[in-house]
Amino acid sequence: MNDVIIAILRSGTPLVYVTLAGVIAQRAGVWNLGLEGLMIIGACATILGIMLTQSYAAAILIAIAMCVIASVLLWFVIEKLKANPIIAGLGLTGLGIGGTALLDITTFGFIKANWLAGVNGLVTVSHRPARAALAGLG
Amino acid sequence: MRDRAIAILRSLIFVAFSLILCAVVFQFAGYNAPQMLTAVVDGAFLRPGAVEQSLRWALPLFITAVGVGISFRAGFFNIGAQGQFYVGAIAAAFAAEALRGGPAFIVIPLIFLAGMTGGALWALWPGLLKLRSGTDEVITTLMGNFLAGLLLVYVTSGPLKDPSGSGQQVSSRPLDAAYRISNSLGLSPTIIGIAIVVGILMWVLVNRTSFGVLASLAGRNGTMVRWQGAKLWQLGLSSFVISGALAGLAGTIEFMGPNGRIASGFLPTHGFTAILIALVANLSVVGTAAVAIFFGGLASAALYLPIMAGLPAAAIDIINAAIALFITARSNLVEKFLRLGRRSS
Repeated sequence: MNDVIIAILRSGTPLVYVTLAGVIAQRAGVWNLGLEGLMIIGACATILGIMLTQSYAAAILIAIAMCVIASVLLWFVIEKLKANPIIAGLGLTGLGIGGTALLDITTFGFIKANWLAGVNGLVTVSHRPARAALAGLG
Repeated sequence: MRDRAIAILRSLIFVAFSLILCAVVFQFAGYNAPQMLTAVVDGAFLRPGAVEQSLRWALPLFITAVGVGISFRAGFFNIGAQGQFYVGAIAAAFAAEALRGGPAFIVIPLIFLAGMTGGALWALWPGLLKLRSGTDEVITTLMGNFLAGLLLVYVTSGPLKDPSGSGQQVSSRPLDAAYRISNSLGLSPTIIGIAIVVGILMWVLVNRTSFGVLASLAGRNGTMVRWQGAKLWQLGLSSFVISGALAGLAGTIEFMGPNGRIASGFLPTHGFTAILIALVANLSVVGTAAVAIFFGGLASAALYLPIMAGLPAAAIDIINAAIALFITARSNLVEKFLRLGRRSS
């Protein structure tokens, strides 16, 4: 029973953050379908940040900064270039998934990429874009 | 004519933007961007056999994308081509299983019919929800994609599981050779013929029938069309059904042609690419054909890169995603530039 509760808390906690992100975007009237991409960019940046700086705090700051940059790109495309938020959001998600896959391979090589893919896989499996989008509708 | 040229130029400009963004990402990830892009062009069109391979991917993509374009024209943001494609393939596989052993000239059309019906039904429920209760079709069709993906996993590991199958990937029983419409390379006169027929029929439907004209008017201004006395309800539902049927047809072609079976997780991003094709082509049928060849080339390059050039296939995902990011954009600067060109010409 304890295990179940721990598992629920463990997989639910990240959802709270991404849901808050979805709520904020939804309040502003934008469907942020790029949340999935932002999450994976954040996960990848954290791991690379830990490797570079050996510090959790710095790694989290780096991850936040990277996600803010990606978000600004999405804002620019949607607001300034008047792109369709849904297609652009899906594009950012694809960019995040593809970009981090590329970065994994260059950083860790093909063999160790599996290890990181495991970490990323965990993130992706428990937070499909669908869920992020649905959470934002609430 | 001039407006059309401007629309084409606009698409090209934003695709160029996207490729620049890709080059930046490649450099950032530690690759040589020019080398990467050359390898993509090489894998898509230049290496021997590449053109056939690109066409093999372009034809199902074209059929799906034309369908997506039809519902987009009518103002319905049906992003569920992926799910309709899957359900079409699943329905076709069930039909093939049920009709096993019958004469080919009866069985093959019936499988096609089943596949198209499957795709159409998977587009029908979001359409009904949208038109009867105003449910947002973006969310329902997007969710439908996940449902269909899971349905595929269930079907291939449950009712249609190949009992003799071993190994990591579960799949259905292979289709009898008599019912296959192409070999595993996936290019045959039948498939090309189907694509041409679909292209012509849809061009006529969009440009030369009252349905096409009314549907694209309804996409721009639904209220006006309703005041003119057209039945928005029928128009909307028919565009959903047509786009679903075409996605289902593409799924059936993949099943009966190159794949010969359905496996869990086959063709993961087909539907998404089709949306991109329709948007890059500005929803025109002729444009869709041209753009589908470009994206078919990218799909074929995705298979070529890791094996022949030693570069990761994720590069193609990035190109697709970057195009998605920019393709619906309308920038004042670009518009000004386009109009400038128009005045001087």
